[in-house]
Amino acid sequence: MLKIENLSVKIDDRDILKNFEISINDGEVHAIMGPNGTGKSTLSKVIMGSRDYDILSGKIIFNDEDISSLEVDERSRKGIFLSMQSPISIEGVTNSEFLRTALNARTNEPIGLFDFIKTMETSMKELDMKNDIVHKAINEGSSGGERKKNEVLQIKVLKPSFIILDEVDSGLDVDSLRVVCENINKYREENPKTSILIITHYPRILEYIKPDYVHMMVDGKIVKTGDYNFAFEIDKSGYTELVNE
Amino acid sequence: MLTLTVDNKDKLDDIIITEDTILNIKLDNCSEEINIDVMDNMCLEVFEIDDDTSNEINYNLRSNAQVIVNKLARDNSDVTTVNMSGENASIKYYSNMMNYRDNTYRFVVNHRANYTNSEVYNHCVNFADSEFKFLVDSNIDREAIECFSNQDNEIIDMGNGKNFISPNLIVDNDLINANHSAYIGKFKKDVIFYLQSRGLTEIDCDLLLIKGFLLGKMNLDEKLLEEYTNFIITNFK
Repeated sequence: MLKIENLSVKIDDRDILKNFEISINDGEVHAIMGPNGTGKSTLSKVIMGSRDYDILSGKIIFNDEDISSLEVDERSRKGIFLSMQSPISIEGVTNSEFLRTALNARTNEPIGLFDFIKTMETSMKELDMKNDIVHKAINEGSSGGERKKNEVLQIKVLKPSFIILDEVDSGLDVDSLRVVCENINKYREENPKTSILIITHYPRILEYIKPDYVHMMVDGKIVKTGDYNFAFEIDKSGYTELVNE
Repeated sequence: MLTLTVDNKDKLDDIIITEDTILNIKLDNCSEEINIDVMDNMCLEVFEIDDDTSNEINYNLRSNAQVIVNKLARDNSDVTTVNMSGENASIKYYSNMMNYRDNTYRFVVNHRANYTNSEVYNHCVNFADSEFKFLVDSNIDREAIECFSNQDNEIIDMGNGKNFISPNLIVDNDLINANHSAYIGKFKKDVIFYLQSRGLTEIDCDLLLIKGFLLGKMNLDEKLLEEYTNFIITNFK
């Protein structure tokens, strides 16, 4: 599914990712944990194609294709989805118009209004969202929890094959976190080849979406990898102690 | 509710609003003077689509008159003057422009009576390397107490245009509430990134953001929304 080889990235004069490597197969869930400022969110934006960073070396291979030079929208249409840490609000652009445009951008035939409304209604009900959100501007006046649910709504509608969840658990209360994770798990069941990369500080989300691999990232690269239990070891011991081992 | 339609096929007479009215204005390639007098206690909602005009449009609002103007225009150099001559008169004026050539849009609101209320939203997308100016004056007379006046002026530059906003509040009274704002710039990079990360092409993003910017504040029903949207799509280059 996704393979990153020898990726080095900087912003301004600061090196962020240093010979970063990871390989994620179809259907796998990987989690990356690491201290603040270690490059986790940079990694997610670079995979998505952000031009805010200078790529010094390396390749991003997605489904056996080098996508390093592709634009953000091209990567999205290939099936990559970044659920953002702090989803922004966009004045004047309604969720409905935005999602219909996004859906139409990835199909040859425009989706009919009836099918679109049906898809939206089912997904919103599963996410315990109010129906009027479709006519509201993207995330305008929404709480942190509502914004994260809106990200998952987009996943359910756009149907990506590789999902990056960048701190999806931040700003969510326990009930909302459960709803969000249940919906992501349901999506995985319906689309078993979907791979997920979870970026988080806390193991709580991993109790809901169980990862196959947990990576500890420090100073721009992965320094240790373990299974699900490694997340709790990190939580118990802290990054400094594990790095010094 | 009376519905009137005005275009520049025939000679334009003064318009006097003596009952609650919806006024549809469609003007193209003209330079006319239009006077609209809204009588006491009347409500007027205007839906205006202009193409390449430099008109002089004058509104007079008498006591308790309520006016909402929803204007969309391409290449507009109109001069609009609103006189709030009666107490408790109120106006919401949404001017939305698509600009390709050198244009200056001038808007003046004069608060001449007590408790008058004006909210003016001027939005422009400048597509070319041309010059666009918003010259906006809100005047509040010494005699007009407890008025509210708000101006929100924004220009989004899609090319390398020369853009200018002059957002003036000229207030000769302490007992009022007045605000003004001005923004000139591009659509924000993080907004473009967000939309593109959902698969929207650059053109899709531009069109969606332009539509949101120009139509987002107006209250249009489905039919009017389609008409205004078609105008934007037709003129989007």
